[in-house]
Amino acid sequence: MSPCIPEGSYVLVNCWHSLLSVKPGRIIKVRHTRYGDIIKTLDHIDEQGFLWLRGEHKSSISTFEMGPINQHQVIGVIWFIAKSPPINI
Amino acid sequence: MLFKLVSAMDKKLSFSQVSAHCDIPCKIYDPISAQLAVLTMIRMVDLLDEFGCKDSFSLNDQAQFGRLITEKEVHGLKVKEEIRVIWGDYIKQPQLEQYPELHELTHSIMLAASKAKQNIDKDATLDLLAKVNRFAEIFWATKGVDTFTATSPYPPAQQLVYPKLDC
Repeated sequence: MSPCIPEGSYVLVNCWHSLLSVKPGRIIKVRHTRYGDIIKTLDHIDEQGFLWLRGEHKSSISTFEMGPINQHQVIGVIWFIAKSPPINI
Repeated sequence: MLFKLVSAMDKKLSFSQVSAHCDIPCKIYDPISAQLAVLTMIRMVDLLDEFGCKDSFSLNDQAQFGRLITEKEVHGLKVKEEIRVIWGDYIKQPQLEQYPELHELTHSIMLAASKAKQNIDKDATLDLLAKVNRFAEIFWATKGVDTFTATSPYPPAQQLVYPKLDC
């Protein structure tokens, strides 16, 4: 999700989340069946209660390709991000 | 400051990792890598068979034997990896509806590759090639590209499915 979260950053995940705290726009950690544990921005929750994610990077995989996420796959909500410092070249 | 503090804690506590990126969908898929890997396996078997005619092994023969076996193993894994990537990343519901045999075919390629790795058996490698060629044929068909079969212009000179690409 660079540049929102640069490579090597630390994120604090609240695993004791309630579904009330999982709202569109929040960055969440999910256990994706295909991509493993990933953090993505929650785009929206559909009428069936499935979560749809989006990436922030222009080359990120699309919402459609990530597919719907079951609420049980949500591991937690990101509380804060300690961004890695930029590398001076 | 905060990053340095957390980083120091990480060194002590080894935090779990999570990815913010998915596989970047480069959309570059081509079964030719898998097909060439099978050809390599067949070629290795041919060369290994030549060893069967020898009465004794010199030190160099033994080294060469080891290299041929290793290459056969490596390319067996490559076949599996290349097919798995196309199956896992490219093949989706529309392709499966078009070719329902894809799941079974992919699984049969995994089994055939294992068999070809486990034995020095030309028939096993040829069986693997037939399956991978069928996979290639389906792959190109899903892209609306016609295919043709031709003999590869190099050893082991086996039949390969190629795409008919416009110039």
